This record gives sequence, structure tokens and C-alpha cells, in this order.
Amino acid sequence: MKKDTLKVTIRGPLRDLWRFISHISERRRIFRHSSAERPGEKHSIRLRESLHPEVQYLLVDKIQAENDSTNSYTLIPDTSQPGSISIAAFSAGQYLSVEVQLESGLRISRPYSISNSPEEARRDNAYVITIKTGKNSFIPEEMVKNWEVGTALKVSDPWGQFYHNPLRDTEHLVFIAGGSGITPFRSMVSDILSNQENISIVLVQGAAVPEELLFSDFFLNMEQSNPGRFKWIPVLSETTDTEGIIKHTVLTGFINGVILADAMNSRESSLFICGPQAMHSYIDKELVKANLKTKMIRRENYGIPGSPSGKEPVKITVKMAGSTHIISADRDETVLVALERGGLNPPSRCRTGSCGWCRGSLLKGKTRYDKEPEGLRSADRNAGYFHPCAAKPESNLVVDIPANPGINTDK
Amino acid sequence: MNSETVADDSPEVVVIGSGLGGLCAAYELSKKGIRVLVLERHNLPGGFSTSFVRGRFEFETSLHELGGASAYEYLKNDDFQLEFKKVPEAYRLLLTENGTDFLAPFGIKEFSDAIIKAVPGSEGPVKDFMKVCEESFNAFTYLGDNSPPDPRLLFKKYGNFIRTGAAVTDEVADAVKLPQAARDLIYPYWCYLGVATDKVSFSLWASMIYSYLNFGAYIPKGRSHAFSVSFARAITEAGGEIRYNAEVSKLNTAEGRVNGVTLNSGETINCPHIVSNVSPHHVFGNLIDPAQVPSKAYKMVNARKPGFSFFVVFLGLDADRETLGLTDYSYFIAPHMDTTRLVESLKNRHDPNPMQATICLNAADESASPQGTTILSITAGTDPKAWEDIDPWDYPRAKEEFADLLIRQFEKATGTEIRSHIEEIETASPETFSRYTAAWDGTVYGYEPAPWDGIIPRVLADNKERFFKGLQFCGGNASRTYGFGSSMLSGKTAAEKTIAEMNS
Repeated sequence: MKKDTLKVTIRGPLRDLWRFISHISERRRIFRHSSAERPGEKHSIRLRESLHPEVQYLLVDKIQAENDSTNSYTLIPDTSQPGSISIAAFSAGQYLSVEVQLESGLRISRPYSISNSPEEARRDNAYVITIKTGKNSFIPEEMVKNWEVGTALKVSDPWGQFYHNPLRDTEHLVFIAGGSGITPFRSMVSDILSNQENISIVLVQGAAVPEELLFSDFFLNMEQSNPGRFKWIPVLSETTDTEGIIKHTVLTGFINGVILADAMNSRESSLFICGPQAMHSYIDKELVKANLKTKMIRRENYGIPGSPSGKEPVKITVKMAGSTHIISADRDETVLVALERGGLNPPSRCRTGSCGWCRGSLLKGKTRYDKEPEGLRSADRNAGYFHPCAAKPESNLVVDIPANPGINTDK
Repeated sequence: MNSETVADDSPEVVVIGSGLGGLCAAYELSKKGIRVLVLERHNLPGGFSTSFVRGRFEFETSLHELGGASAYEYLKNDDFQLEFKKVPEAYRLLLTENGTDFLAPFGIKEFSDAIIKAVPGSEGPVKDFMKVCEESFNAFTYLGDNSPPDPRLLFKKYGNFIRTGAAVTDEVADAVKLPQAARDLIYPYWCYLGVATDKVSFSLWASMIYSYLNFGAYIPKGRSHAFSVSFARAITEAGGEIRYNAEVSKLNTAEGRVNGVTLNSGETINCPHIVSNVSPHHVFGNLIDPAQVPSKAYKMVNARKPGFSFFVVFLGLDADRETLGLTDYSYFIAPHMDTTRLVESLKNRHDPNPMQATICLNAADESASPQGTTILSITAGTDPKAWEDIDPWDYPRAKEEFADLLIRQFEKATGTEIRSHIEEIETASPETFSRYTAAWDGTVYGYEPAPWDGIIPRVLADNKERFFKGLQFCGGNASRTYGFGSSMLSGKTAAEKTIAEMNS
């Protein structure tokens, strides 16, 4: 048989033809016999909604002073809100974005790492976040000063990639914290020591003075009850006088290559670093100087630095949800902060350029990044999209910014 | 507040959802000067067609390869400025139970020759099978270009297409006496449709494999996110508007026609024409007031079976692919190629031997990740139901376990060692897809194309299955079925139909 006369039949030519014609009416028959019920919610939706609720309504349940400028706040579900029964699950090291209304009426949100472990949080149905305030702090003091037991908060679902993964990380972990950057490690140390038997951790905790070594009792206790698995190295930069405050050997100075080499102990290590941007840069240099090779470094930092310079301000024309707004901005603050000052309530989560939640489109003008944001997609970069939380204005701008979908909206 | 507010013009067409179908529809409409407003609940365009960054790696969320000429030609459009890389081979198949290791080349002749060489005596059946596939593909092309078609020409020229048009793939393989060993080598593409070969519409299957094998496949630079931003840019440049973080909570109707949408924020936008990239399940089930939905619409939705979903492990590796021994672009790894049993295994996320489709972007595009690194993504099908018993607090561990299993399976089948090279790892489950795209039940593929719900019945029934005037559907649940090219081009069809309705 020649190829071009190939004749394939399934049930015989006529029956195949009839079948072809009737498979259209087959469709109608199947529709006729199917259910006329309205289709209901399904499985993955349930899991999605419990893991990633659009907003969590929480109440401050307890306030515990950690030192003069730092409090831990216990947050529980506000059961007066419909559907608000349980807190959303998280991985140790993740953060919550918390919305606050300032006295000026502006609403802003800031990310805070969760400091209790998933086990503790699940048991208590409560998150603990630990917040340092003060003039050099990333957190505007005004944000939390009025919080008291019973204060109602709107909080995001848990976010962030700053967590341990046994498929990726080494069996020896080195955690490096600067100042209030210790908060995710409180959760991670607790979680890993109780659930991952083969993992050992060295925590290097940097602070200025002994009072700023947050959770020192907890880490002392963990070190005593996990010999060989957990080592705590507190490092103070401004004082060596720890008499009566810390019952532990304390190193002095900055977290340098010698301390890091000791923490890594010649073992292949995954490093987790959390703290101010200046500490990240310092540690990067020390690692190079000491010729220390790491399996990988994961970072969490607290916001893009920048303060008003008072230089000639720029004008930003903002297109948002079908409206156009014109605001004024300082050249040394991020576009995101300018949008917040302008009362536009823009979306934000990580505030370090990595998560992309604030993504917008730069239609006209020029911005600069102190450091190229890690999370920017290549096609976005090429097509003029930007991350306002990391970008500072260089000229007058025209931008298109999505309205805030979740925690900053009043529904 | 030192700002001024200016209200903009009301839209002529609202597009709900900015998946590729919605974007393509909005692009086609705005290009013709029609005022379009796209409403997207997420903060990014593209739905599944996007990417994400971890450390120094940018991962592709869903596209394995863009196959077939029509989507590729469409995207070569000057408005888009996209750059493509050719995928080197069709696939490498590793069947662990019988030790099959088969490299399938692109090109109908090359592919057929490779099968015939691997399965002695299969020449006649393999050639016949590929010939019927070609005829189905050509018939679809004819039907796409000629509406209404000439029945006499259709029967005369495309007789095999007609006779196999209501059949499933196994029936045609039986009819040409295709040996089992040859089926094992030809069937792996089943996973791009996600329906077993004893259930899938042959004409759709045939057209799919023919277009892949005959034309080859490509990936874009900048991941499929580049498709989405290109469309988004072209839409805004043509005067259209896209609003992100704008979830539609209601589709408003009166007297059998649509008249607008209401957003989660409470804002109502009036508009007589709507293109929905959102599934009919969601539109009829959740968005339209139940008092307005005819029971026929519910029956239609309930009769159709949403396709399955995926579990994906995204790996950024700290060595180049030569060092790792990753020679190929696309790996299909399975215990066997009995597609019915493979589909069955999707219901159990603890099945020790699932099928995985794994791609190494660097094999098509060396610059896909920084020098000295490699991107590998492992995909396994999974039924959303397989995730319903998970306690949210145990979810991270459940993902770790599935990822661990797939990495072990890959290493064992390929004889490579990748675990110690993992620098970045991320996973996606049906929950993840549900979260980012709001696809019904976290499914990735649209309604299953059984013969009665294949392209031909969908196209022929389209006008009878419209329950509201002014409403068109596009995307993976629409008439062309799913996949990147089909979902996207369904937007073009929806735009054409909307324009016809506007002019009538």
C-alpha cells in the first residue's frame, strides 16, 4: 500500500463516520446528565486560605520588656473578626508585615520576624514579634508606642525565604545576628534543635552593650541542654563589662574573621546572616580576608537605608488604580517611602528589594539603586519595571503603582 | 494629602485575569483602538507565565518549551522584542523498570528513524502512526483557515482525521498495530496533555505531537515572564490599562447579558463586554449571582473535569552542567510508560515511583544562570486531592519529602549527583499554583480533552454554550484547550469574537 493511500479505520469506515458525527451529541448527552449544583470550593483552596490568608486580624495579648528599648509582643487571633480563629502556619525564620496607623493618619506597614518557634506558636495559637524602637532604629518609634494589651492589628500572612532547608543546607549551621537581627534566630534555634537531630548550630550574636543581647537567657539555656549541638558566641562592640548581666564568656569588638572561622570550625557551613546592611558588608569583607569558604550565605536585612537630605525635592506623578496623584519626594529616600508619605498606602513587604511585592512601572524619569535588588526579574529590568522599596529618585518621575490589595485596605 | 485625583475613561472591554490568554485578548483589542481594562488579582502579569528569583537564579515557573509554529510565529511579532533559544532535542526517556534510555530527536523523519532503530520491525506501524498524526495536524490547520469548512473536501482529503476524530490515542495505535515497545518511546509527551492515552482525544494528541516533532521547540530569554511583560507593555503602549492587585469579586449581569464587574475593593466598573481568562468554574460558580446563572451553565461546568496539577522542585546548582553530567535539556523519567497507571499514581503523593519531567534550561541557553551554575527543575504531576489531608503546619515537611523523592529518583535514573550542589531550592505544589494564579483547585491544565471535550466539539458547540451575551472565555479552559500556545492564541479568538459582537 502506498503511503498516501493510508486508510486507518477504528471500528469500520461507516461506524467511524457515525461516531465522529455523534461525538458532538455525546457532549450534549453528558451535559444533560450532569449535576445542576453550583460547583463548590475545593481542596487546595482550603490549604491556601489557611496558609496564606489575605489578612490576619490579631490582638496584642501580652507585652514583655526585653530591655529599655525592646519589647516582645504576643499576638493572638482577634476572634471578633469573622473567620479569625487560628494563626497561619509558618517556617522558622519568616516574618509578618504589620500595618500601623500613625498619628498623622498615614498608614504604613513594616516587616517583623517571628521570634517564637512554629511549635510554640502552634501550641499557643500566638505569634511573638520582638521590636526595638529608638532614633537609630528601622522601626519608627511612633509605630508601636501606643500598643497595649487588646490593641487590634492587621497583619499579613507569613513571608520570606530566610529559613533552613535540610535538602540544601549543611549539617553545620552558622547563624550571625546583629542587634535586633537576632529575632528570627530565636525561632530557628528552637525549631531546629527540637526537630533535626543531626544538625549543629553556632550562633554569633553581635550587640553594642550586654543589655542588647536579646534572649540571652534562652540561648544560655539551649546551650546547656544541647551540649555539642548548640554553641552561643555573644560579641559586644562597646563594652566588656558584663558583670551580673551575662553569665557567659563574651567576646569584644566586631564579628570578625577569627570569630567566624571558630564558628565554622573547619566544617562546610551554611551561613545565615540577619542584621543591618553595614554588618552584612563588614562580614563579607571578613570572610574574604580570612579566606573562609561557605556552602552558601542566606541573608535577611532590615530595610534600605536612607534619610532625608533636604536637597531639592522631586515630583512623582503616580498612576494608581485608575487615578493619578502628584506627590513630592526626597532624593535620598526610597520611592516607597515617598509614596507612603504621600498617603498613597502602597503595597510593601520585605522593603529590601527582594520579594517584589511593591513592583511598579517606571514610565518616565530616572531612579537609582544603591545595590541592584536581588529579586528583580530580568525581563522586568529590561522593560522598565522597578522595585520602589529599593529605588531612590534621581529626577521627576512618572510611575504606575498597583493599589495595595491586602492589609492596608479597609474593606 | 498633597495629591490630586483624576478619573480616567471607562473601558469598552474588561478582561478578567492576565494569564497569557487574557493578555493576548487585551493586546489584540487595544491594537485596534478599543479601550481595554485588564484586571489582575496578583501583582504580576502572566498567571503561570512568569518567573521568580532566588539568590542568583531566576527560575522559570511553568514553561518547559514552546512547541509548534503558530505560537512561535505569533510571538516573533515586532511589538514584543523577544529572543528565543532552540531546544536541542525532543526528550531523553529513562524507563527505570526495563532500563530504556532513549534520546528522541526533533524532526518527524529523525524521530521515526530513531524509534524504528530501537524497535526492530516497527517501521510500517510507526510510519503509519506518524502519518495519521500529520493528517490530523493538517486537518486542524485547514479547519482553522476555512470556516465553515467544505465537507466534501474534508472527507476526501482528511478521511483518516474524520475516522479517528472521535477516537482515543490507544485506539489509533491499535489500528496501525503499533508495538508496545514503540508506544513506550512515543507516548512520553502524554504528560503535556495530562490525560492517559486510553482517554485522550486522538486528534488533539496527534496534532500536539506532530507540531512539537515537526517544528521543534523554543524557550524565551528572560523566561516566560518575558512573554507577559512584552504583552503588558504592548497593551499599555496601545492605550490599554492593566490594574494589578485588582481582584474581581463579582461579574454583574442583567437579562442574560454582562454589564460590568465589582472589585474586592468595592469599586464597580460598568462595561458591556467581558473577556474572562478566569475559568467557567469560577465565573459561574462564584462570580455571577446564582439567581442569574441558568442551570445549564452549572451542568456544563460540572460535566467537565479540571485537569491535574503539578509539584515542581526548582534547583539552582553551584556547578556547570558538564561537571554535573547533565547532558540533556528535557528528561522524562518514569518506571514504565503505561499512562493509565501513571495517571493513577498522581493521586498518591507518597507513590515511590512517579513520572517526572525535568528540564535543564542551560542545555538550551548557556546563559540561563551565572557562569559555573546550572538550573534544573523537576516536575511531577499531582492531583490536588493528594494534598487535602495535609495539616498546614506539616506542609513544609510534606514538600520537603516530595522534593527529596524526586531528587533521588532523578539522581538514580541519570547516574548523576546533584544534591551536594544545591545552592537554591524552591518547591511549588497545587497550593502554590492556587495562591499565585487562583486557578480552580490549583490545577495547571484546563478541562480534560476527552474526545467529547476535544477541540472539535468545543469549537462546534461554542455558540450554543454561551449563557451570557457579551461574555467570552479564553485561556486553558477555552476552545483551543491548554498549553502555552493554545491558551495564548485563545485570547486572539476571544478578541475577534468580542469585536464581532461589538459590531453586531
